[in-house]
Amino acid sequence: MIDTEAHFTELYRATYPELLRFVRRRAHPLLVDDIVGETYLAAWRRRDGLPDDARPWLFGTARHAMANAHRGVNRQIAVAVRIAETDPRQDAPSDPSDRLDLQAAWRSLAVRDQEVLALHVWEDLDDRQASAVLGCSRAAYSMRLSRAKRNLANLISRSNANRAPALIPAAHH
Amino acid sequence: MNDTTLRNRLSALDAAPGGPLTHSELTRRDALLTAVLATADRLPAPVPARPQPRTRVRMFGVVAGASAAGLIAAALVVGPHLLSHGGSETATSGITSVQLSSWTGAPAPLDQNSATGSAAAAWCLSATAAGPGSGSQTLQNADLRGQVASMVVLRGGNASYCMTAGTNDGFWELLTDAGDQPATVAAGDITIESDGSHGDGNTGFDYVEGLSGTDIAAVSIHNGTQTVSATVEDGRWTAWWPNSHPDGNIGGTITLTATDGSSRSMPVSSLIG
Repeated sequence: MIDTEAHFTELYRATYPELLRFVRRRAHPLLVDDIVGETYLAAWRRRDGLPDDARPWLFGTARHAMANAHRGVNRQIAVAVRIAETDPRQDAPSDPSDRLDLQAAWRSLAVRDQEVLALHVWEDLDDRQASAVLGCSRAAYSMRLSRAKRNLANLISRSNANRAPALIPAAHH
Repeated sequence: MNDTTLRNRLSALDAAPGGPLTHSELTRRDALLTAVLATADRLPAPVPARPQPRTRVRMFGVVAGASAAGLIAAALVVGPHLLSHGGSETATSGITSVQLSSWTGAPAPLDQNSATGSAAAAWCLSATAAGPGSGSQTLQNADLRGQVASMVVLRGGNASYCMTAGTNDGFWELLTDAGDQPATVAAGDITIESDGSHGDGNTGFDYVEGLSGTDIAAVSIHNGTQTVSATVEDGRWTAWWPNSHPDGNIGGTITLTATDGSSRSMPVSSLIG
């Protein structure tokens, strides 16, 4: 239980970087500060009931805030997960064509598949934490994650096949 | 793709990778904390979000027009990458809004001798051939809802679900591969093996597939304003409907009708977990 400003400040400073990244991966850049602010405002008001591991609660609250900010119009796209246009790793050995396949595959994924993969890989949540963010059972989350991985692999294979060079050279006259 | 490979590959796409907060971010962090602690207990409601960008108003107009054409009145959303350039919008699945709008709750068997049926079957067989497995392919649960066909393609222990309007594009996903533990279902029950949504707005659709026991004659889903009759064949049931759920979750009630005529209903969520 968070019963003092000092406790809340400690929680806030410990979780702020991750919540900021969670929201940046999903929200329009102009809305990031608002969403983060609304989330912590809600956390302060509900401080008596916050769980010991507050991250899933914070992420779930931010997720709802993003969806509500687009109520009735872009609700689903509000929780779609953005991807980087260039590799953020400084010494990345990535093959450009490989990266294009991956980007194309990600953009073809259903939003719900993007969500579970992002929670698993970028937010690095275990199934208990991730299911709490999504509001589903651990079994449902596990099923969705398995399916999302398969779907991404299928899309990458499809993208690779589409850019495979012709095996028979064109005839020259 | 194993988990290590997945993580390594996706790390290249992280739009907000980790690292220390910048000076500017630290300043904003501290300012926000001060504001939260100073205002939370005095304000009756959270700080309102910024006004909606104008593009959203325009997209909502497109959605309203589409609703008048007879689409299901669910919570429709339109993504900026799907803005209309003419009559029909096309989602990443390749199935257009016009094709989806022809959807019927009760499916018709897919006639593979017809022009539409043969084109649809050909597309799905070709597309899923890129997936795992080898050997001959067979089709089951092949049906038509309006202009869009769906079917399960089986090959060498692998099963894939495919949807297409037979216009040289569509969508498919692997349901089970030969390495999976064989799933079982009781005679009077069904399972959900896979469910999901694709696209959004009037190019979005939800789909669901699972196993059906030997005593199951019919499966239907009641999702608020619509009833979807599934195609049940050889131990599998499949169904799809337009307008993906805003949260990507499939809800409503599912009704099982047994071969003896008895029926029972349950929330769809009870089957997903």
